[in-house]
Amino acid sequence: MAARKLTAGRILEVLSSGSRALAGRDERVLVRVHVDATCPRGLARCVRDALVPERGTGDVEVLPLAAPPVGADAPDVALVLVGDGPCAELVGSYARAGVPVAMVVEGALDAPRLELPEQAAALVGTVAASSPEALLDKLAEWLAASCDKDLALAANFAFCRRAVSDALVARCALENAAVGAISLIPGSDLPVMCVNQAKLALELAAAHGLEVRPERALDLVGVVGAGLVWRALARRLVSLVPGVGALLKAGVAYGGTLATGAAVRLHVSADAAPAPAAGPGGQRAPAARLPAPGEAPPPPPAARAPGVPPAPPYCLLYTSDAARAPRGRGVRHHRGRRVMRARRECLFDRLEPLLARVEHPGRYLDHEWGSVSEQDGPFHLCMVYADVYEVGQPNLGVAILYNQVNAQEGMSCERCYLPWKDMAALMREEGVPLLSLESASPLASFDAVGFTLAHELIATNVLEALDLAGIALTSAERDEDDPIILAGGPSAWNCEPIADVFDAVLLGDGEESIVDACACIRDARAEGLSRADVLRRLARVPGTYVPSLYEVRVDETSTRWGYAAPLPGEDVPAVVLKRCVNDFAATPAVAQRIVPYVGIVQDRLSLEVLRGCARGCRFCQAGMTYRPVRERPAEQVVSGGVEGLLASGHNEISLTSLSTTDHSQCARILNEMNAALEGKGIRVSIPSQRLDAFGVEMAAAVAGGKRGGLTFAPEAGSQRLRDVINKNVTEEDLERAARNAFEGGWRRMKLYFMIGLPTETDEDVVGIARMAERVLEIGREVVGRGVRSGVSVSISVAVLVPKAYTPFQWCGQLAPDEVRRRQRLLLSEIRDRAIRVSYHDADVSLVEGALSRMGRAGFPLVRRAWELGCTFDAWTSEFDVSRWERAAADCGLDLADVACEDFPLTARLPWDHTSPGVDAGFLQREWRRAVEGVTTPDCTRATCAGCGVCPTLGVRNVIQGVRS
Amino acid sequence: MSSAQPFSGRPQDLPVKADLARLRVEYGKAERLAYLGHLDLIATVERCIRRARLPFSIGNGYARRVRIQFSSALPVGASSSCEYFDVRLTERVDAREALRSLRAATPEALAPLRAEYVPGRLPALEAWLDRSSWELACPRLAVGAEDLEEGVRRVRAAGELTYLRGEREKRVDLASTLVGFEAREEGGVVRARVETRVGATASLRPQVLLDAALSALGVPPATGVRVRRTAQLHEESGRLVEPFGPFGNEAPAPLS
Ligand code: SF4
Repeated sequence: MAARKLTAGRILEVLSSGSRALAGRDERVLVRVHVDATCPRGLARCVRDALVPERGTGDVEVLPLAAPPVGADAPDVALVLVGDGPCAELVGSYARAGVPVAMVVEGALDAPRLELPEQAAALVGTVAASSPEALLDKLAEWLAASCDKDLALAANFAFCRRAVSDALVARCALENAAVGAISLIPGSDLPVMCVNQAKLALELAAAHGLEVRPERALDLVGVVGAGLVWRALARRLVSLVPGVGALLKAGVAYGGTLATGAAVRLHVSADAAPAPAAGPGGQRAPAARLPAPGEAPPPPPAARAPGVPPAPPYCLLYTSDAARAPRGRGVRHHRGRRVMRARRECLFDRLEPLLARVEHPGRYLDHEWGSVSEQDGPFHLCMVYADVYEVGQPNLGVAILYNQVNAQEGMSCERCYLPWKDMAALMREEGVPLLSLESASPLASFDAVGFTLAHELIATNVLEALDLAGIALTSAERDEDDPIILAGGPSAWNCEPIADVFDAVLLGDGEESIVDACACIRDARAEGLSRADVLRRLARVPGTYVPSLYEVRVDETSTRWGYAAPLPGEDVPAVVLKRCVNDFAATPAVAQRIVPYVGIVQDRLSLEVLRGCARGCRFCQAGMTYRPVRERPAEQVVSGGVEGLLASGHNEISLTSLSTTDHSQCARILNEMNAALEGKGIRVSIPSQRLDAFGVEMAAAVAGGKRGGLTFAPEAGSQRLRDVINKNVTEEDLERAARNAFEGGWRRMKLYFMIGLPTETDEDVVGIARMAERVLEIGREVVGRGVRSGVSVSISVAVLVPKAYTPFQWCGQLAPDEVRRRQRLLLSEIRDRAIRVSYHDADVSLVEGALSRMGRAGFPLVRRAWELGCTFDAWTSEFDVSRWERAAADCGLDLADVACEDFPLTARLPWDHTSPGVDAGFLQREWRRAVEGVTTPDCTRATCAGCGVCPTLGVRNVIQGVRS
Repeated sequence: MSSAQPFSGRPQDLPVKADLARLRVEYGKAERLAYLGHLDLIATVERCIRRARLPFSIGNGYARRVRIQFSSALPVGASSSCEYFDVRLTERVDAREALRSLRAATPEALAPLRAEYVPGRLPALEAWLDRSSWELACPRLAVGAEDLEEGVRRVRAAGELTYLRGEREKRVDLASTLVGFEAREEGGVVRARVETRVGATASLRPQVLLDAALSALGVPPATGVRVRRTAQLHEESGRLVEPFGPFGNEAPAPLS
C-alpha cells in the first residue's frame, strides 16, 4: 500500500509541511482599503461586509483616498475602491513599494491608466464587477493569486477560502504533474503524489482556519485512496485530449490531484460545517481504510456489533458518498469529472503504432471472418470478456449474446477483451483508452457495457478493464451519461463482492434478457430519464438485479456479511429470480460465427448440445444453477454442426455442455456426425467423459485413430465420500471404464479428484492413491507390464471451493495448512513412478474461496488487490498471493478466515436475493443427506428430486429420448 | 498407439501424387493484418479454403491437414500485394470459379487476386520464389533520400550485416542477398525500393537494412516505417520467372 512505501524523509516532509501550514495560518495579515467617497455604494458595502476578520490575526484598515504615502507600516495587500477622484498616484506608490494593490471598479474602463515600471505593474490588479456577488469571487481570486499570506487570508476571510483552496490544489496538481511526467512505471509515482496530496490536505485545512495537527497529516494520507478514484476519472478525461505520452501522463497526475483536492476541500468544508447526514452507505461495512504506519489495522467486520453503523473516519473513504455529496449539497462540480459521454470515434490509428511494441499483436486485430463490421446502432452495446482475446474469444456466452443483440433492429453489439499487461502499460502511457474491437471506439462511448463473469478470479480484471476505459469503477461514482455497466455469467451467483461495480446484473440465460435490458436502457434514455431512474426501470426487467437499489443489513439472522434487502421506498423484488430459456431447441444451434485470425485457446467450433445437468453432484454450482436440463434434438445438432463447419472452415467441432454423454441421443449424434464429416479431415470432440462403459464407447466414437489421454473425474477416493458428494459412481463403474479404455487402445488415464470435501478423513485421501494404483494395475493387466507398454496414470487434485447455491454453501473451505498436510499425505502414499500427481495451487483456491463467500463489504478487498497490481489472477504466471494477502490486511481481513468460515445452516446468506430458483429447503435437505452419506438420484433418469427450479420458474426438463 | 507414422516430416511435405491438381493463388495481406504471424496466417488460409468448399486434398499425416504450401513468411509488420499459396485439389475445377469462391470465403484483408493451375512437379513455393521486391515508406526520417542511399552503400561495403533477433544474432551476407536499393523523396516521406534475394545465410529484412543504414549515418532508427512486399519472383540462370510462369524447361522436377 502506498502509505507503507513512504520513507522516513517523506514523513518528515509531511510533518514539517504541517507546521508550515500552521505557521502560515497564524501569520498576521494586514489589509488596507482606500475608499473614494464617490465609489459605487454597493461595492463599498460588499467589501466592508466581507472584510471582517474571523480570527485575531487579521487586520483591516479603512482609509480615505487622500492618505499619507506608504511608509514602514506597509500593509500586506491594499485595495482601492475607485470613484471619480484621482487614484493613480496612490496605486502607483503601493506598487513601487512592493505591495500588491487592486483597484475595485464597476467596469474595467473605470480604472485609470498607470505608467509604471514592469515589475511594479505586475503587482497592480483591476477587479471589475458590476454586482456585489460577482465582486467577491473575483476579489478572492485576485487575493489568492497576489498575496503571499494566502493561508492567513483564507483563515480570516471566508470569501477567500474557495479561491485559495483552488490555487493550492492547482499548485499541488502542477507539482504532481511534474512527478507524473518523470516517472516511467505506471503506479510508481503514487507515494510521491500521496505526500503532495497530504500536504495539500494540510494546507487546505489551514486555509479553512482549522486546527492542523501534523499527526493528522498521515491520517490524511488516506486521501490517496480517493486519489486513485479520481485518477481513474481523470484518466478518462485526459484520454480525450490528444497529445503525447509523458504529457498525457502528467495530465493524469494533474487531473487526479485536482479531483482529490476537490474531494479534500469538500471534506474540510464539511468538518467546518455541520456534519453531513450519514449516507445510504451507513449500514454497510466500511470501505477499506488505510491504517497509518504503526497504527493497528481496523478491526475486522466481525468484531463489530451487528447493525451498528461504523463511524466513518473520513467521509472521503466512502468514495460513493464523496462522489454523491458535491451534487447533493449544491457544491460546484469537480473539475476532474467528465459529464459528457466519450465520443464514439474510431481510434485504431492511436492503437496501431503500439502493435509493433507488444507481444502477440494479433490479439488486437479485428475484422475477423464472421464479425459484424456494420455497427450502426443507434444503440451500442459492448460485451467485455476481461481476459486476453485468446481466452475470451472462445466463450460461447459472449458469442450467443453478440448474435442476439446484433440481430435486433437498431441495436448493435461489439466485443472487447482485456489487453495483456504490456499493451495496457503502453495504452496508459500513450493515453489510449480501452477500445472495442469492431469499430475501435472507446468503451466509455457505449450505451451499455456487459461483462462476462466467467469465474470468480476475473474480478480484478473487470476493474482493470473499467480503469483502462476511463469508466468509474463503481456504479455510485458514475456520471449521468456514462455507459450502463452490466454483468452476467456463471459466477454471477455470488456477485456481491463486486456488486458495487455493476449498474445491473443479469441472472440466468442471457439470450433474451440481454435484449430486454438493452431495450429498456434505450427507451429509458430516450425518455430522458435520469441515470438513477434508468436503473430503477432496469430492475423491473425480469432476472435483472440492480445492486444499488438494495442495502446490506447485518443482524442476528445473517452472517457477518449480512444480507441484501430492497432499499426503503424502492419497488424491487426481494429475491431476483434467474431467466430461463425453456425452449432450447428454438435457439440457434451454432452461436460461434466469428473465426479468429490468431490461434485461440479452443481453436474449434463449439456447439452447445444441451444445457443444464441434474446429476446433482453436491459440490457443483453449475449443476444447480443451470437447471432444468434441456437437450437439443439430434437432427438440429447434426445439421447445425455440419452447416457451422462449412461456414467457419474449422477442422474440429466440440459438442459442449456440462455432460455431453448424458444427452439421450448422444450415440446417434456422434454416429451421424462422423458419417456426415467423413473424409473432410474434421475431428469431433466431447469435453468430458462419463465414468462408465458408455463414456468410453462415446470417447472411442470421436477419437478416430487418435488415442491420447482419457479423462475421468471420480472426484473422491472412497465410496463413502463419493456418496457424500452424490457422485453416483461405483468402484466397479470406474474399474470397468478403465478396463474398457485400456482395451480400446488408450494408454494414459487422467483422473480428477478434490480434497477438502466435507467429512473427508485421511482414509479418503489415501483412497485417492489406492484408486490410482488400481487403475494403473488394470492398465498393466490389459496392456502389459513393461515400461514400453506406456501405461500411465496422472491424477489432478483440486481443493473444494464451496460455492453459492450448492448444498455445501454453508461449509468453509479447508484451512490452507490442512490442505497442505493432506497433499503431503497423498504424495507420500504414491509409490509408483508411473503415477503423476498435480495439485491446484492452494493459494489460488483460497482467493477463489474468499471471493465466493464474501458479501458486498468484500469489495474493498477486490479493489485494493487491483490497486496493488493484481490482474490476470487466473493465470498461474501472474497470480500473486502475497498481494492478495496484503490487500486483505489493508482491509482488516484475513483470506483464510474469510474462505474457511462455516455459516450456520439457518443464516441468511449474502447471495440469497439473487436466485437460480433452487429452494433453500432442498439445499438444506441435500446437505443433511450428504452428511448421512445418502445419495439423491438424477431427475432426468428417476423422478423429480424436488429442487424447486421447475415449479418456481415454470419450466421443465426437456429430454429428447430416454436417458441411459 | 495407432499405426506408426510413415513419414516424420510435416504433412505438407508428404509426397503427393503428381496428378493432383495444383492451384496457385495470389493474394494480398493488407496493412491492418501486417502483425498477423505466419502460423496464424496458415491456419486462416486453410479455413478459407474449407469455407470456399474447394475439393481440397487432405494430407496423410496424423493431423489430417489440407495440403497447402505457402511462399516465404513475411516479416511481422509487413504487408504485401503478392503472397502465394498452392493448394492440391482432387478435382480440376475451373480456376476462375475457384477464385470466385475463394474470394467469397476470405476476409477482405487477405483477398485472393489471381488463381491458376501450375505444373504439379514445380519445386515448393517457399524455396522457389527466391527474389523479393519491397517498398518502404518512411515518414519522419532524420535524413533525406540521397543520404539514405549513401548509408546503404556504406552498409553494403561492409559486406555483412549482423543484427539481433530476440536473443539470437543473425548474420546476413549482403553480397548475395541485397540486389538493389533506391530511395526518393515524396512530400516529406522517403520511399525506398529494396530488391532482395534468398541467400545461403539468413534472409535480408528490409527494415533491418534500413536501421543498419541509419546507424551507419549515425542517426537513430526510424519509427512508423511501413514495409510492403510488392513482388516475388524466381531467378533462373539470370532470368526472372513470374510466379504464374511461363516456366522454364530447365526446371528440375523434384517432388514437392
Ligand atoms: S424441480 Fe425436479 S425435475 Fe426440475 S430440475 Fe429440480 S429436481 Fe429436476
